[in-house]
Amino acid sequence: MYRHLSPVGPIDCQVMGWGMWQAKGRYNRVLYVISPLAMLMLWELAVRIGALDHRFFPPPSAIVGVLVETALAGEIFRAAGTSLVRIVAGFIAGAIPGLVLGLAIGVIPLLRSALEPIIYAICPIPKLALLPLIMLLFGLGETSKIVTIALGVFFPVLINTAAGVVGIERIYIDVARSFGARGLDFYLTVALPGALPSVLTGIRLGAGLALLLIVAAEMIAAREGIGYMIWSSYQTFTLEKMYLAFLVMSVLGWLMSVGLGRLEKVLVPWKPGGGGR
Amino acid sequence: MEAGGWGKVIGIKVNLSGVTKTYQAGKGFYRALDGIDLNVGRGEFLCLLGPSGCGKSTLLRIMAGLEKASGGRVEVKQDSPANPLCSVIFQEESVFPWMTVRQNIGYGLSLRRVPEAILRAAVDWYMDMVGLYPFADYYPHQLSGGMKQRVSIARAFANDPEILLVDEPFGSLDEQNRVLLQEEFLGIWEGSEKTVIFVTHSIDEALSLGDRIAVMSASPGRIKAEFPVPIPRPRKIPGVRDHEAFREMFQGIWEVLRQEVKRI
Repeated sequence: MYRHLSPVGPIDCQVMGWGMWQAKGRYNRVLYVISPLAMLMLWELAVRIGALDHRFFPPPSAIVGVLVETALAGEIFRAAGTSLVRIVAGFIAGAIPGLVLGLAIGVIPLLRSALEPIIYAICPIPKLALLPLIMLLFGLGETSKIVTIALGVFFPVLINTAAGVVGIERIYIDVARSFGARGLDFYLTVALPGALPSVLTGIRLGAGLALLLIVAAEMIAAREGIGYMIWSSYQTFTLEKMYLAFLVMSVLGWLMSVGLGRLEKVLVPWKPGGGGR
Repeated sequence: MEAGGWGKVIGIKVNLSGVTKTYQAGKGFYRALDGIDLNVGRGEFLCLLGPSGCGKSTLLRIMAGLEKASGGRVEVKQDSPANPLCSVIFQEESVFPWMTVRQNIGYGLSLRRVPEAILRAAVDWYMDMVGLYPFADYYPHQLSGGMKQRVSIARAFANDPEILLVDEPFGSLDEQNRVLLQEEFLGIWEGSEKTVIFVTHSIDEALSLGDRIAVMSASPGRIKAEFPVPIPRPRKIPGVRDHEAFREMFQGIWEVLRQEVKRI
């Protein structure tokens, strides 16, 4: 059996492992680029040989053509910009009240008991279901879009903030009390920073909902925006534009995710594995 | 009242009389403290020594105002209205993970809206005392357990209270770090004229640090015996064990404590 034991020491093994890992990493990176490109080529090919119906699956080359065309006309930027402005406005209008009320609910048990049942009753209602009501109340203009998104963002931020405050370890509250932190000082030095990781989870959830809601709201009643672009290309049967809208949504979602990642590094630099020192 | 060695005891700083604490436990009641009578002199270093679960931490929390006594009287004399009455050094990791070393140490002062220059000077001073100056802008997750406890000590001293309430701060540290921190703690305290109430379950620690030791009984907690420690200051931490009083007293305190430990 001894002959199976190679004379290679642990260091050699590690070097081998490291080298293999590096090679693997290289292949992975190449795959990362090649695989989506291959899919697009396959798609193009399938449409050209007639395996895919070009009316429903316009070839990527045609979509790129429309992309250049609408980009030159500024149409695509206007649509994306309109949607983005609505999302950002709705986000601010929903996240800030959610944060403030969440902190208060987390800190004050009386408020928690009073509001929790109401929150848990309203929260499960899909915000899309409220869309007609929101339009009745706020009209067909910008306000109704912003309110829809604000509602979508408000609840996850509220609930996660409150849970974050409740989850702060007791010892930190004891420290704050023993040093005499009261009122606003307590909120700013313990409740808010302690709940912040959880708040960011709420904001992430809210971001996903915001994308969903903006499309729905713009499909129903809007004359601009990404949702409108999807709906109008359905009505005029210009599917290249619809696919372009999908692409924009994908980029928008990715940008939001990257942005929130950055925000987390800035706001929670103290998390292990988080931002700098 | 005469305390051993260094402590300049002029009058009484803390007076506990008949302090009780009762918890509701299920349908019954659990008595954690049963008639605590204790005086602590001004500038005295008192060690509260007792077996685990005897209520010594509860007593400390009552003095810190974090819990209410169920009965009895807690009197603390405030000498300087400008200073906070007491700061607590907690047993577990208690430095805020979301603040840097500097922000943690300055916490009490910043709550009191102390001018920035004074705050900075005080924080720098104590940060240097515990050897954390190079780590001023580090967050706690980048520090070792011993360093975090140093932050906690510096935070309490920087707040400049009249009384330090200390709850087994070195319990979770390894032997070497414990000795090191005991030494540093004494170094900062000696000459500060602060009254210290130091909870521990280690006879060794109590004898090394204290002017006087109050031994508590197993639950419900009472003060069972008091021992003045006649070892002069300033003390050197490992060296203090060679003092003849140390060994004699260790034996005597252990005799009292062993009966209590057996009762649990």
